[in-house]
Amino acid sequence: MRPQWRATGALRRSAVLGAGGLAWAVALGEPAVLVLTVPLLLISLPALWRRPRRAPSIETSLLHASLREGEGVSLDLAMRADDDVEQITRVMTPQRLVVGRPDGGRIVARWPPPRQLQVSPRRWGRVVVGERVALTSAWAGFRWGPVAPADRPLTVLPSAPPYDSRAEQPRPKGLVGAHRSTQPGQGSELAGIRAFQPGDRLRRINWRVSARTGTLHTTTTRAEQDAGLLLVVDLLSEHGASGGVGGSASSLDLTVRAAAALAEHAAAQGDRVALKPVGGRARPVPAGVGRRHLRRVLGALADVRPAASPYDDATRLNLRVGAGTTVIILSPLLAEAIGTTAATLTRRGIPTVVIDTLPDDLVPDLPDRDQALVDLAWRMRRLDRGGVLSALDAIGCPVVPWRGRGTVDDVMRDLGRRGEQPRVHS
Amino acid sequence: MSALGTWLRAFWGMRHWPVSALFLRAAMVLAPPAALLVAGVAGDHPPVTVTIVVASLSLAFALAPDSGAGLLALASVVAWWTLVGDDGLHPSVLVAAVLLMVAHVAGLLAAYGPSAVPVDPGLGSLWVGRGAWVLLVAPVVWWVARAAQGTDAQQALWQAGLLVAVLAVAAVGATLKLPQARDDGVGR
Repeated sequence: MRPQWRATGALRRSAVLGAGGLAWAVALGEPAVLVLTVPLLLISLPALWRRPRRAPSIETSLLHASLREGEGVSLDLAMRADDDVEQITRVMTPQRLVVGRPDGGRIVARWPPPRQLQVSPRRWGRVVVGERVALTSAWAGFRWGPVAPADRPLTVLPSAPPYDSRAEQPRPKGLVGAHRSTQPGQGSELAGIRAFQPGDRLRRINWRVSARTGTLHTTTTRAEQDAGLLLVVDLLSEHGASGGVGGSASSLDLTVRAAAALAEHAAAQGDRVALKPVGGRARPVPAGVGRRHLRRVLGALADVRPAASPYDDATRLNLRVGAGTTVIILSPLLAEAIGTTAATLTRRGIPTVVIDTLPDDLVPDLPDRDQALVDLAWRMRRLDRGGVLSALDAIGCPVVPWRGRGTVDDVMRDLGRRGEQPRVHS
Repeated sequence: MSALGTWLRAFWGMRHWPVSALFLRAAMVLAPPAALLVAGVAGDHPPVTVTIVVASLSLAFALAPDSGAGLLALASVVAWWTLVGDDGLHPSVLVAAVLLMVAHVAGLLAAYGPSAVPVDPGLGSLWVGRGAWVLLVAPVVWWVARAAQGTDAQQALWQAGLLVAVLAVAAVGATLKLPQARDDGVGR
């Protein structure tokens, strides 16, 4: 049913008092009533005279379909047949961790309003932006609405915290890429100078050394190879409360934002990036390169939802890791399956790093339960986790807490050095 | 019980209201009882019960600006002024007219949107100007009525006024029953 213009309470009040007062004053001969009510009658007459004849049509649109958490986007409203409109009221549908401006997403202003509604989601994910709109005709005579225009979906990509790494990928592989290989090949990084061998390119001959030694020498370089990064994100559970950008971060917030930062860094390096969610509701992203692929990874990260049960899907974890790929597991390490996976990958000789995303100051928030019992259960959980961390440390799988820039530098260098050493397969 | 709960929540939520919204509510609560009490200057002090009734209606008006409470509050004040026997055209009636207009405009601005939104300066100035403009007619009517009081022309004046009143009421009645808004043919 299409909304219609209806008389406002103000028009009813002024019209009834004005007209009724006039009739009363004339019928009963009460001039005082006339003095009191004629101004009200006068205020209702232009409202009635300029009553709207046409129903307007409104349409809202978002300036961007996706943005980073913490950024803002304008929720524009366009109206047709607005001749009769004098005032507009817009109220954004309130949502947790979605900030509206001005005044919490509410505008009461003359038409056309000086500014539009601004929407600023504070947390990554999918948001549906809705609002209700009411219009008032001239002299506050008639109201149209409130109506709810079509909701607008908005993809909120995780904000990548400042991240940079100077460590090389442990074991790059392939023909081309940006990473220095341990193997000699066609690159720009000097590997050494050695005696000329059949098959060497003539342009690689180092004439200065050859002249000094009397025999032909060539300059050798290291190959430059590409590398891959497999991000395994643990969605088996979410621990801690999320306060959005600038607020407290849950384990899932840390996981998603860290994964976004790592993916962006790898994409900027030209590396292949793949995403493998464990548990929860999310879609995996196969390995790929480039900005478009990065958008795909970030979109998949924006879609993740934690599992309903911490045991969801954990047993079906099957990672296919290609050559030259480094695996980074982002997890609060409270599920045994994640520790087992990290240990298995490490034993297979795949460079694997675990980033611990359990918030430091996390305490269980279960006010309706026996606190002593909750504390005991949490301590037992932490002890289990400590056992997993010790076991991973014992087999050489590095576990580092997420701290932004340079988080994995040291462990990557260690893994690189380890990769250069001869391995014994048992 | 639910209505009482709604009102209590509204009271509790006032803590977060902007100053301009509180100012509007104060005008809606205070102006009708003040217009009633001004009748005391003209000679007829309203009894406490009437004052309480008007104050209660004004409070309801402030909490629900688009409801009929405002109409009842203002109509109660007007009704009391008909009972001012000695001198209905005492100059204090002009003060009462101003107070009624203040209450009406405040209710109108408050009904535009949610309570916790500050009054738009553009709308505020627009309605202050309109209110002041229509109030100019009150002293004119008062002066004409005062001048015609007790003269032979008064009967003809009232008859002409009656005709205007009937036409005005008929026009208002016909317009309030608005026909279906016509579609402009533009779909969303």
